[in-house]
Amino acid sequence: MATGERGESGRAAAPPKIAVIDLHKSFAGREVLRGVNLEVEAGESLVIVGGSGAGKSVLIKHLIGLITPERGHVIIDGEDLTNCEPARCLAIRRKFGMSFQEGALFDSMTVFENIAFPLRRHTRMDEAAIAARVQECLALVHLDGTGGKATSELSGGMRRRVGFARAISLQPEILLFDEPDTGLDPITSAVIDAVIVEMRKQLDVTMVTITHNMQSAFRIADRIAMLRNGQITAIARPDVFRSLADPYIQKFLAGEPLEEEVA
Amino acid sequence: MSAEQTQASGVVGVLESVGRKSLGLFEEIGRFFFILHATVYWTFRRPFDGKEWLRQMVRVGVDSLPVVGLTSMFTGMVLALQTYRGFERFHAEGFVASVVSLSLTRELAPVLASLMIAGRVGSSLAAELGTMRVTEQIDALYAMATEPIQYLVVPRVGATTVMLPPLVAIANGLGIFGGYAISVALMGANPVTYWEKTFQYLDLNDVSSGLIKAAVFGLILSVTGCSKGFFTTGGAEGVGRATTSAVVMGSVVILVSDFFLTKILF
Amino acid sequence: MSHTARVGAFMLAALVVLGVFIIKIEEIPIGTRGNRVRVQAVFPSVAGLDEKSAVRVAGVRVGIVERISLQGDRAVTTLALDPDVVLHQGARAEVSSLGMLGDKYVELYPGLPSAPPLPAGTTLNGTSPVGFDQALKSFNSAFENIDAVTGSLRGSLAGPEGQKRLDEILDNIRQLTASVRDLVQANRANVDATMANMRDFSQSLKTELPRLADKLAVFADHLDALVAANRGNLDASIANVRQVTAEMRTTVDNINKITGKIASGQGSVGKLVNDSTTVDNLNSTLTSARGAADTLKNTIGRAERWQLDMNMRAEALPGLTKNRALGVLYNSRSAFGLDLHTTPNRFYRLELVDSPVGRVNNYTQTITSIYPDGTSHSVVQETQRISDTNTVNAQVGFQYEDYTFRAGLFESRGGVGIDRALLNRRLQLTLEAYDFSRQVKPPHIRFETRYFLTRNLFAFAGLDDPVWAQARSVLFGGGVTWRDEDVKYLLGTMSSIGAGK
Repeated sequence: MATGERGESGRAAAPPKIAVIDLHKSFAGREVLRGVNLEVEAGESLVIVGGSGAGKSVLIKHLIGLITPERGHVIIDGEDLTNCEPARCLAIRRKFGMSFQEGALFDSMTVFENIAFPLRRHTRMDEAAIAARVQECLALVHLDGTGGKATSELSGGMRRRVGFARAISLQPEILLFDEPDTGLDPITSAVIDAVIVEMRKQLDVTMVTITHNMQSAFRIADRIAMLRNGQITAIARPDVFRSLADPYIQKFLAGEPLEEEVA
Repeated sequence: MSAEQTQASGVVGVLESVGRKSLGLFEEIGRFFFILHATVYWTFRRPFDGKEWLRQMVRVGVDSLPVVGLTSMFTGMVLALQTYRGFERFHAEGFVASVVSLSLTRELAPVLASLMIAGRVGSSLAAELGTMRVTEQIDALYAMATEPIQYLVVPRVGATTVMLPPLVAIANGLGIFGGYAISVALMGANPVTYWEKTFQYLDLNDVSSGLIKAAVFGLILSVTGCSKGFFTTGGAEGVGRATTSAVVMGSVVILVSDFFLTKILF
Repeated sequence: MSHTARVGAFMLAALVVLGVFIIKIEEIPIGTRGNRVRVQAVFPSVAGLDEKSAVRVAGVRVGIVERISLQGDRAVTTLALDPDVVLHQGARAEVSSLGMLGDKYVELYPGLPSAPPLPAGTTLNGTSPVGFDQALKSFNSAFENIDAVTGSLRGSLAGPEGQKRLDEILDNIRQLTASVRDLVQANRANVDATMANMRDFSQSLKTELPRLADKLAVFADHLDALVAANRGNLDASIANVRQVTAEMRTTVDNINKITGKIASGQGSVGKLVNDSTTVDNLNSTLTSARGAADTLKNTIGRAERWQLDMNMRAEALPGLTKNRALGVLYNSRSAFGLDLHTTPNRFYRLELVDSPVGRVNNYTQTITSIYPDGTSHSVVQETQRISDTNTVNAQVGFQYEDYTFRAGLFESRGGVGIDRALLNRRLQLTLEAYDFSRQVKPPHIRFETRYFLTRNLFAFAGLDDPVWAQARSVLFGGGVTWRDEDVKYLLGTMSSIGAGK
């Protein structure tokens, strides 16, 4: 499966930023993950694609430790996130910034407070420094001047971007995007992708994105992985991925129905 | 043949549903104690969010004062009215004050206040945390290396536990005042005697046990509300379910634990 | 208002309320000038008094009972008094109560203002109210005094001067006994009269009312009327009892005084001189008096264990037709009587039974006529007499588990019977056989099933005399039984009604 691609990437020597080893998880008797193995290099942008219900969200939540697996390990910089003291877990998690599907903004707070939240929580910055940092983050997602708004006033795309800004406010080493363009129109979706690409240029981060939107995957990915039936069935650079012979991937790329699933 | 099979499957179905129900109950109890344990664990760890505590204390204590005060005052009034009518029959009107003060401090004020808070605060805790859960805000907290138990549950449970005893203390006062007003103004009881009788048979233990009860009830109802909210699944409907069952469970557990607390404290 | 300020204000309110509670509950004196003065008072009993109970002077609250402790067999209380209460010598304390249901409190009598003030640290003497138990105790002490008197009499009684007084005393005692006997006899007359009334009552029931249902209905009416008519008497008799008790108490008080004086040798009795005969007489009198008392006590003790049940029943015998030849006069039977349970397993039954069948006595009279011609002619004349239908049941019964065996007179004839109790004594089966010597051979058999509707009311049905075709009948009826406790109540009520009249 994925072993063939290792050599191609040519970066096997450096230790991986994220290593996922034989991850198993089931919900109410249904196996969602059936032995996922994955390595993400430092500074890389990996996009995991897959059909609805393939377990993409479950996988990305494992990466940050929101879900504990039944079997397997998630190793971040050599530390096992699936087996650590609660306080240590929190420390490991501080390396992450995560953007959620619908933004998951705290609706009791304004945009400014949302972005300032991790800063207030985890740093001893004074208010002026916090305000500066929030402005910086908002500028990065092209939302200057919206700090005073309530989260309920924001459009879907703006919510995502505020989510991004919040995710990057602590200057994380790893950024996770959970379906950043679900439910957005193609133009807004393209804007979001552009913001992600721009953030990647400006910040030195490792990014893992899950999406079912192939267009957006090709726009932001260094490597694309296909998650199907709870396993990574393919992982490759975008140009290689596009030409993979797997019929499922071809159908997925073309947006055509799969016979077995239609039936 | 097929009839036998359906019959057998009927029996299995009944057993299954019984099993599922009891598993659900165990799960519920397990969640309660998980939240309780996690709350205690995270209460004594940094950072300590004093602002959030204050905010929750205002929400639970200060903002609940009108409803709890009214409940208690009218309870005191009704109690005085009823016992006066009864005691009048054997010329023991003097004991109305003692009955009102004793039953309020020992039992009625803590339980009624807790039930009102279970309705007012327990439900809102469940709804708040439930909404945060289904909109992934709780996950977001995790993702921001913030323990949601510590950030959300600890101040809420803490504020409820801390605020219920003073709330009940004020409720005691208002309830006794209600009984006093009715007895003196409506029934023509002697105000001085009434005032004296109010405290004559009252022991500090009566008051303190009522306050201890209130603290325990506060802990129970807030942990119930938080655990219901924290483990919400199923979108907006799930939030509604969590809210309802937080009130129902909270009230039932308060009344049941009231019995055992009374057994222990008196 | 900031959150902090709101929480602060809230907490302050709670603390104020709690503060009031604590101050009031712990009786922390606020507003009274100076400290409270502590005084100790000792009471024989402080039953009903609590710490924090009020202390009053002339009904005005001046402090609280601060502490109660036990010292030897007496209760020592520490009273905390307002500083403006001044106690004088002769001050005392009393445990008192406000009304019947009211609280107990300590009433202080501060002593005469003219008396010098009480020195600090003096312990007040307290008295406790006379309760029922105390009243009993004073009775006891009266008797103890009597004992002491008799003892000293026995030791020192002698002399001609004392003889006369002694005779007077003995005479008094004799009079007292006589009046006691009269009292008892008067009561017995009451009881007898009551019984007689009952008998009349049942007889008139029988004759006036041919039908059983009517009997019971009218009986119930009578009972109602009886109770209603006598309610006034009842009240009156209770008042009498109260008065008697009051008089009794003064009597006891008097006896106490007198005997106390005698015991201490005051008065002339104590100075009686020697006279051996008087002593002997007195001794023998006392001995016999004691013997009599013992006998009386035994009898009373035994009688107290006895239980008296009263029964009353009436039954219809629809199968009987009146037939003088057979002695059948009525087609009903009614009975009234007593069961005296001397032990749990043995009882004596005495019942007056109005039997439907009288005893037929045939008298044969031979009249011989002698004619002038010397011939004689004898005519045998038979006359028939039917004896009274008033008969008696007098039986002794033995109870063995659920079985009761009875033997004795059944309707004035010898017979035996057996009862079997079922269903937790609600149902009772009875088989009786009596009158073995009657003309028709198999004896009179009676079978009855009795069901207790309530503890007192029962209904029954059965067969009477099934073996004699002419007198065979089904029977059914009902009755009342008053158990011992009911009877005591009933007799008590009636005799007091009698006394009230």
